[in-house]
Amino acid sequence: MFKNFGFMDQQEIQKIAVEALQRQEKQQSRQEEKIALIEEREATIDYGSAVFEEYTSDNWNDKVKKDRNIYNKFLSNIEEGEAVDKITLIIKDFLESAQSIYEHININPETYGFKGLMLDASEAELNLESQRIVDNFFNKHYFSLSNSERDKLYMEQSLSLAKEIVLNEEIEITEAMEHANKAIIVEKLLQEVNFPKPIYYRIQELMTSPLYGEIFEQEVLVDKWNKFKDKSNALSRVFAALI
Amino acid sequence: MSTRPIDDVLLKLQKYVDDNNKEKQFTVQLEKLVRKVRLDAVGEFNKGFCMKFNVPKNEIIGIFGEVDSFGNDEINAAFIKQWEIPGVTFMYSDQYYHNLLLLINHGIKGKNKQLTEAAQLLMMIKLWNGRSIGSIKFCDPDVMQYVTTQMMNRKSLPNKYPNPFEMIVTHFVPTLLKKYSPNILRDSSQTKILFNQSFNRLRQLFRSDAIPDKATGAPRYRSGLQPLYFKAKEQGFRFSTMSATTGEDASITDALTSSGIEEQIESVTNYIIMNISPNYDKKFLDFVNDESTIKIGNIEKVIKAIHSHKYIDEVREIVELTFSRLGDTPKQKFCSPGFMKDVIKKKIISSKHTSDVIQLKGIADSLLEKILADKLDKQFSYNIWSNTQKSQWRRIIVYAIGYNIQKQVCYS
Repeated sequence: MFKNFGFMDQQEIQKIAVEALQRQEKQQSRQEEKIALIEEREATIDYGSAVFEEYTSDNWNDKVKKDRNIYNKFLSNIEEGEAVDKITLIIKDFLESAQSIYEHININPETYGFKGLMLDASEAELNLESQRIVDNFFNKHYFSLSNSERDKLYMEQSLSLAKEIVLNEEIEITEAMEHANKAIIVEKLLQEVNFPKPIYYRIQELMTSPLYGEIFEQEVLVDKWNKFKDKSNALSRVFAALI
Repeated sequence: MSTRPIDDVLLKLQKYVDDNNKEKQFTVQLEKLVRKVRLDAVGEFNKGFCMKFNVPKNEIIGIFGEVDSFGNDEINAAFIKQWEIPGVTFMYSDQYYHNLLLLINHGIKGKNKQLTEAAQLLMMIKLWNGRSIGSIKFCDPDVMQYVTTQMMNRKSLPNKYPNPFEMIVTHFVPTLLKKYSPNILRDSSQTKILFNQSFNRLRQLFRSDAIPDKATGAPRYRSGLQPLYFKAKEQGFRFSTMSATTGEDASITDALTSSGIEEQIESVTNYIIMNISPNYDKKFLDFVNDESTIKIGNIEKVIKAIHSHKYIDEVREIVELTFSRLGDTPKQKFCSPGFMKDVIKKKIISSKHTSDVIQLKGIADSLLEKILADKLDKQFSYNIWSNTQKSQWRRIIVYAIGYNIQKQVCYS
């Protein structure tokens, strides 16, 4: 009934058992290595600690001082008066919403352009630089593109905005399309000016990171971002009308 | 005695340290003295650049008391010989400076930054006292404050730093050591240059730009604290006459002097760690939530955690550094509802270059590391957060300690 195991059989069984044990150990050690690797990686995740510095209101004020020159480029197309006052208030509100995002994520505000200028740059220099920023931006994102590239990038968004304009403001479709195109580029510019690329990506990362969401007020950040987008959208339409 | 007797004593010191495992003991001893100097200095902070330090002379002169292989006489003779000092001179022969310079040289050789910096600081506070008394014998803090805030350039050190302690710790100690350490490492005689430069830098603060007086031929100084001070005094300028003084401007350390700052630190620390079921106002928690952008639930976990005997050392140090930083705050402001925003936020959270705050943030970091490991899930280990986010975490600790200090000092 039972096989009579001899010495060799026992050796064979032991060999199989040892091999199985070794395999298991190997697997376990691989698993441990993996865990160690994950832990090591976790320890080095720093969410941009080397890149970003802390928010300071002084830097925010410096940024706004420079950025205002860009907004003034648009405002210079209308005569001073009630309209300018109203738009200035809209800009103020818009800037406050951007500032509250910087404060929330505690990152030092960055400026788009104005790089080669000295701290005590004259008004004329700031003016010239802001003109260069606006011109370059429009060239890069609109004028230098072929029609098909423009369509690919903006058509869908332009159409939906144009449709809204036609319905609400009774403007002809071609005029509405033209306005929509301008508004989309201006909105892109406003976002870039307020949140240059590295900051923009950082905000996107924080808004979606589950880890950040567990500890920090992520929903508040998302809410602030949406408000900024709404205000940016409204302001871009005002600016587009001034171009 | 060889031609390089400082090297001989250094070798003996190194051997003593190695044989008896004393490196840490010397470091801790000096750091303790620095702490004591700072604690004593807090009460003097309101004197600004008129302040004097309590120099731990006996402790430094006796620091090698247990060493058999060499003693003060040998150190003294070594410096005098290698520095080629002719006879006994007041400062160059001072045992206090020699012992500290020996430790500085030893610290530089052994790359013991803490020991080196502490010794350099202790050397400079005595030099400060000498320069201060030598230049302005009876210094009126009110006049001096006018000088440093109104008459001096905004970039000048006395304008930049609130008191000489901050200036020495934050500016002079690191810059002088950075510049002269490589030379000292090559040649122990260079300790004389470090000493001279430490002296010169402080002297320049008091008087520089000398021209011979037409009548007497003696040097007359045109810039520095001394000429400006006497000019202000002559013209009757005082800081208090510039702003409305209500009589309620007594600083919190003025109010605390009677019971002793040390005692207060102890009582606040105990107040925190003994209160294992703390009750924080909702308004305060909302404020911290707003300032840190960390969820209230997590804030509560961290705040509750500090009320434990487990973290007594960290809590005590943070309390001490907070007192040190806020020492010159008027009591009225200290006990006002705007304390968090007007005092804690401005003087600690937003401060980046003051030594107390830098140290405080370091301790808050190590406390948070422990709290997060103990109280939150492992995946939220403190080290995964970026520097800017760590700063948001730190705000919880800083505000919570501030909250308890205010409660204990003002309402207890």
